[in-house]
Amino acid sequence: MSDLEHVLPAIVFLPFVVAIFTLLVGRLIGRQAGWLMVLSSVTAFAGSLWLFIHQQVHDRVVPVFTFAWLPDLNIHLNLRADPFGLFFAMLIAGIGVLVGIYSLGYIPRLATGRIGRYYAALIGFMGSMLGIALADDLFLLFVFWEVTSITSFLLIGFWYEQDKARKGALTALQITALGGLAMMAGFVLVGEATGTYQISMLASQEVLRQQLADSPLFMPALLLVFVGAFTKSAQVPFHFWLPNAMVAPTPVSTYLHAATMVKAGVFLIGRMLPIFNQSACWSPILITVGLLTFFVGAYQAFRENDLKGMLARTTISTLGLVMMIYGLNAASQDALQIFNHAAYKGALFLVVGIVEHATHTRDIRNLGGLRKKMPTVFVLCLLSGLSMAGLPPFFGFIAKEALYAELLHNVFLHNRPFLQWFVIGTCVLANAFIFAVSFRLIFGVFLGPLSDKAQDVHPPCAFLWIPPAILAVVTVAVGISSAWPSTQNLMNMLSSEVHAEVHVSLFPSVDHLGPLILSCCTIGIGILIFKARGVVGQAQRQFDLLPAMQTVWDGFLNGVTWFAECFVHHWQNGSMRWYFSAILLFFVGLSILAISYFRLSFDLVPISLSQMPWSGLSLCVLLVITVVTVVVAQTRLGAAIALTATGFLVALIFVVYRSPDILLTQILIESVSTIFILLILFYMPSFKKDRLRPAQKMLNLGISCAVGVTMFIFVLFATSLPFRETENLAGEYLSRAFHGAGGQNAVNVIIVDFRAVDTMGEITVLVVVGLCIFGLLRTRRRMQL
Amino acid sequence: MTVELPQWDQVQRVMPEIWLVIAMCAVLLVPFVRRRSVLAPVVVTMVGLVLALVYVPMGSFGTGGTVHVFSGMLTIDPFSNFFKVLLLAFTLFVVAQWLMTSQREMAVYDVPDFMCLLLGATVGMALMASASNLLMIFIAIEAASMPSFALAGFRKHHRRSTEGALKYVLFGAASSAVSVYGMSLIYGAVGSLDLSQIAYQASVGGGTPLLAVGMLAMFAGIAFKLSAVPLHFWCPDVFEGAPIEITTFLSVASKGAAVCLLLRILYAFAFFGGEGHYIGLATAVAILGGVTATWGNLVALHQGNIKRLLAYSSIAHAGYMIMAASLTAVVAVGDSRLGGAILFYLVVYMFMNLGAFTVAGLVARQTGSEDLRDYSGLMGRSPALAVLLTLFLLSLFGMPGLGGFMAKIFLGMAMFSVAKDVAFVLIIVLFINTVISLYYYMRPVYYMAFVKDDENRMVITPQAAGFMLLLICALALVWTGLLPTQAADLTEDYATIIVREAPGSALSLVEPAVAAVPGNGH
Repeated sequence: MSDLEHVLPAIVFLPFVVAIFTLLVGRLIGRQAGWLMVLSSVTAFAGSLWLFIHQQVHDRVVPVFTFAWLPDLNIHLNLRADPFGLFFAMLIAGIGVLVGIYSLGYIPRLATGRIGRYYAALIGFMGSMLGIALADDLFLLFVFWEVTSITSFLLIGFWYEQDKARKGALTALQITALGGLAMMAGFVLVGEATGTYQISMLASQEVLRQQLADSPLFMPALLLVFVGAFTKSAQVPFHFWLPNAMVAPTPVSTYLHAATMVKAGVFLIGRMLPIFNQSACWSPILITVGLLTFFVGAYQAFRENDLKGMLARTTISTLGLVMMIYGLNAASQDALQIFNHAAYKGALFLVVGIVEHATHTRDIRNLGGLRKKMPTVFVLCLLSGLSMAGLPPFFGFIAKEALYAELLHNVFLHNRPFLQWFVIGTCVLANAFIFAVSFRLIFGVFLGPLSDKAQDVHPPCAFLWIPPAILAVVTVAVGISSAWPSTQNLMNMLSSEVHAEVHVSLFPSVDHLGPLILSCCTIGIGILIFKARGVVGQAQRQFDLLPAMQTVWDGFLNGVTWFAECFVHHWQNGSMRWYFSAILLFFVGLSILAISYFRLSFDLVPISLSQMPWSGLSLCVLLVITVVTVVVAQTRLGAAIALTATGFLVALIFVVYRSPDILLTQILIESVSTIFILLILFYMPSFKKDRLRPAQKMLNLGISCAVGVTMFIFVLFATSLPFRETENLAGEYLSRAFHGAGGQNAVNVIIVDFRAVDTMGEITVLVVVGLCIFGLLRTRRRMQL
Repeated sequence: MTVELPQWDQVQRVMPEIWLVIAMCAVLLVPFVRRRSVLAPVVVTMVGLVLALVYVPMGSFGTGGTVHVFSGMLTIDPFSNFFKVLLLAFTLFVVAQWLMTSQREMAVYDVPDFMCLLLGATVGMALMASASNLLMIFIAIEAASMPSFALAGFRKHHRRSTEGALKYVLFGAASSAVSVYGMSLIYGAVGSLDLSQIAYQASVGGGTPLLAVGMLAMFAGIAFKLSAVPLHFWCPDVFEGAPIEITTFLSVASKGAAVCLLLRILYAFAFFGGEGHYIGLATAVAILGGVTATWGNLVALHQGNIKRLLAYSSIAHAGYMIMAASLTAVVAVGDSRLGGAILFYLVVYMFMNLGAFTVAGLVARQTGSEDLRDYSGLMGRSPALAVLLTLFLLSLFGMPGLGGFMAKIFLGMAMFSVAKDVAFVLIIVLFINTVISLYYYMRPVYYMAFVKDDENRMVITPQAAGFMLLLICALALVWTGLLPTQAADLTEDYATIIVREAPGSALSLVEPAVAAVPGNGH
């Protein structure tokens, strides 16, 4: 391979560089930033085209660019230019050129920084789409995938002053970004099962595919990848974000929601086809979802009054169609269908944009008769609309013929005649609805009497009408050129299937009359639907096909928010009492768990109450009394005194159990803290008893008791369980005190010899505390003065 | 038995900490020399931090990277050194952040106290990373906590600050009490406070109930520092009330140090228990981490204050790190992949939080508000700040192309490589949490980009220095997001935790690094 592979990263990453540049200089150049978009997309298109031609001339060698990105994880920055990827890249870059030109005329003079951001997002979007098209690593694909979600969020929310725009942008982001995450989870599973993330390797190596199919991770991976593709391509039941995203400026809708981004999901399925299609679920899921989306989209499109809404729903419909084609393992005509849709739908969106730009409305009921005011646009709409309707000799016609031919001869359907006729019937009906939609569009907007809104419209400037004109010319040109076999060869070359054999021809041969008959049926039913549009519309208002998924989604989000709100309110409410109760209960639970886990029983406890010395017992009783006094005391002083008494009683326990050094420490600390408490008492406001409800009081009491009892049991077990050694510690200390330190008084020796550093530390602490008290006293004096 | 190094040599090993303590004293003496200077204490602090930073490599100089000092109280190994470098660099950033954000609010005579407390907390956290004895662990946690309490309440005339500090103190006291009690139980069960000795005894004598409960109670202290459920309640209140750079400091340094400590303890157990032995312990800690992450994310959904939102997000991130750290208990000896992933996460997390909090501080400095509504239209008012904050938030969420994403990926992969079945559940939890977190990380972005500014709020122009700091964070995130290999390799190299040989254990013979150290006296 020559240096050809270095063109690949240039195609993908140059737009990002341009996007950052646009962001920086956007304020200075304002609307002229559109030229940067045009320039970068032209470059990308030229690069892709050159690669494609080079590839066809030179024995179909596929250029591959590899860069060790995360070698530890076996993730590489692999770019690969196979014909299908290049086709997609050329589509993205080509439509990018047209959208760039169109934006120059469409985007009004706004605050200049905003325009810069718009173009930066658009160029960045293009770069990430090119990345999706050319990525040969699942991870890389995911990265670009999420970047398209984010940039589309920014682009849909361009008119952020409008409430609807904000909501639409947010919904689109939520659905597509979450779908993207699900997809990544699927990719990770694929990677775990096979050890590689390289798409071409997974697709071409039988061993890896078998390894994946045998893995238990296969099904979850497949479903997760489906979720990613369905959300991006707005398939039922995730379809609702696309019509809402129509609040975007029209060039954005054209680019993202007709020509490129929504096709990423379809493209992904095309890429995954060789990896996953052994699965028994592959065809059923894709056919079901695809067919349902195909029909529902077309059905709902006819009901819509918003021009862009109509187009968005027919887009959903066509995406469903392509999904279904993949489900039927008929990948050889994917490029044909995608190209066809991008051409006519791109043109129609741009036309609708012109109409909206001129009349400031998109409602078909307020429009009509624009034929006279803007004849050029009418011709463009007619050409692309008839292509959408599937009439000869347009591109749409041959695409539909190819679809019907496939449905009639498909291997999967051939063994299931009932399913076959069901699918064919539904497809004919759906196509008839699309036919009716395109007629409704042409008649509603351009024919009939001139509406009020259309009185003072002006013909569009060249920037606006040239891009749709180019697309319209493409639909006508491809349609007519399909009379010669070169179009068929090109479509086969571009398809994701390596040896594609789709039959494309403008003139059906005599022995292939089936598709033609179905086409005639479609047109006939379509005309009927269009003629009876009043009745059909009435019926559609009565009969909604699907529950409004938007409502379901909003309900879900509100539910989550509500749950979070309740959670905060009940659990994270700022109350110290509750916080401590929670912690204490947690530790009680933990202790009970430990005790039950180790099956401790009271038989293990060797101590019995009768063995306790009377002095200890009476001290305990006194302790209980003082503690209760602390809790029920009416004044602060009373509570403080009781607390001090508790402390000194604890110290006395050390007397009973003969640990004089601890006793000393305890008494010192107790004295100092008593002084502290008494000093602070002066600053405290008067004692306010909490007015708690009895239930609350009982709960508190219960928690306290639980903590106390658990602690008690715990200490009991802790002290009675076998310690490491049961040597006589006291004897050891006594002998060491005498022989080692030469002291008669063991306590003194312990304090000043064995624990000299300890003692010094304690003294230091006491001194510091004393100084603090001194400081406090001085502050008090100053405050009194 | 390890023969101890000469005393002076041991002292040299802790020179970073010593420099910090010297700086603490020096900064308190500064007012006697220059009375009304803000700059002087800051310079002294920074010099102290830089000196400490320079001396970190000295700690393991000529020892092949590892040394146990002061009768095994501290372990200076590559892992602790890495964290110390991170911590000290981060503290320097925090001081810089303070200069830019809330320095003007503070009275001049408070500055030395503030710096002294900051340095004190840093000492405690540095010790936490090295501590390998329960006594040292306790002292380190307390040394890190005490100054933090005071720092949290440093906005003295601010009710929220005082409330937060009080809650912080009470929670700190409660968890310390539980923790110390647990340590006493452990001592009762094992007869030693040395971490490796405890782990060794546990692996030999089996888990006694005393030891098990002692361990869990001791984790309370660490859980408090990590703000893990159920000891997390203090976190949002403290984070909201504290001055913003203290919030930044606590959210990263304090949690990071606690993660390091957790790793060291769990790894000691794995070292003596062998691979996969302590799966129960790992599961318990992992559940704690999962609950913490979920709790943090759920509560964050309903916050209107940016500091509180970031506080809950930090709880969630601590949860992710605990989940990953839990598997250290079952890791194979010498496997540094998981540790490397956690260190990488920590590095990325440091930059994300530093950036996000700095933006919040810069906005609060000029508008005096931390309310999300006051971020309305920031994209139009101060596009640079808004774009940077968006970047930090997206990284916190885990947007591909930014460090946060790579950190999560590395974490997930490393977890998967250690224990497949447990890790599978943990990764699902991580995934669901990431999905939830998208919602609240986008909220500030939503306000900044899409909500119109009706009240003509002011344009926020950060100083050049503040902008530089933000740019450094952003570049670090982009770099770790796009080309993470070098950083990941570096963290993996430094993720070697060394467990001290337990006296009498046969395993001590196989310990690689210590055996190879000539300076250690073999």
